Amino acid sequence: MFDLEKSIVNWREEMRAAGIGAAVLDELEGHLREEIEQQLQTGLNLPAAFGIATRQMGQTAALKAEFSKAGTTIFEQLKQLAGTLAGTHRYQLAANMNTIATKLEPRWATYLKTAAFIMPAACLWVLSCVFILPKLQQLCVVAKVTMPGPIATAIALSDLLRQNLIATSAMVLLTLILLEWRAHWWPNYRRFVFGTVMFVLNSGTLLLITALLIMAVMVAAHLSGEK
Amino acid sequence: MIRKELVAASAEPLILSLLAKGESYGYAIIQEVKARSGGKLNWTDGMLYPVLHRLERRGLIKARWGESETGRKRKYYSLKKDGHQALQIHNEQWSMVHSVLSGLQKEQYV
Repeated sequence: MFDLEKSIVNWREEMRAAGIGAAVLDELEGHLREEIEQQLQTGLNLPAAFGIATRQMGQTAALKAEFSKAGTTIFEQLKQLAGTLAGTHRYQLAANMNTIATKLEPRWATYLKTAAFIMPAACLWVLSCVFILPKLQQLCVVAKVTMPGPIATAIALSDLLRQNLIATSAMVLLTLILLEWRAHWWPNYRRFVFGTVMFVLNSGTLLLITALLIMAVMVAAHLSGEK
Repeated sequence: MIRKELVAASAEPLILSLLAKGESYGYAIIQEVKARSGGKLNWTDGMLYPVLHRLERRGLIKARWGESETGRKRKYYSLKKDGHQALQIHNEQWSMVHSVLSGLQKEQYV
């Protein structure tokens, strides 16, 4: 028995393997389906209609060559970059218009990975809140150095988060519960969202801590100069 | 059978001319070109899309995702201001080639 949906998924997979992006594939798939409908109306059976439609679409290699000439828009490149940074290399499969065989990562895996990846950033943040920040602020006062604007803002943000940690966590948790419960589109974007948030949080924490350390060295230099 | 170089060279002016009449999408563009050329300009379907995307990237046309009558996702293209200008230049150049050709043809029969 010929399964059209499965054949289309396979065809997409073949095209994707040749390097054709998801947005383009969505468009090509729409075209393919229209051609199949057209062929069916002429009295062909489904497998034959599918065969003609895919043949008419062209060889994968030739298509790939043509599309690489067309290039991608900056927006698409940014989206791909974000997807790569978020660790969702195959994120495009999660957002296509197929309702079957979307190869989604299971929920528990996403949550587990997220927890594992947020740990280092969270630990570093706690450590810097307890040890580095108070010391640095004290040093600044002694050395009569004002903190540069961006660092002061980041510290203020970090303080705000620390003071409202319980409320913030509750809000995040509530949002996630609501999304899992009500949003039917959420599973498609879960991994991408978590990946992106992890990337931003991790790099933000690392940047902040690096800035704090550099700041500490500079203030220290200032201190020894005073003496 | 029209030579593939000519098919490739005529793709851009044909697409721009069709879109100058109004918004359209890949499948309809191919069907219309096929119908208007009496089946002689038969593009490989997949080849149209790279051309469309190239035109979009050059800012001659713009695209938006819409829905077909049956509710399926469909990408519609329409001409931008630069596209109208590009079409005008194409038309001038093709008319020029055409007038040279037909002028030479007439002389042969005089």
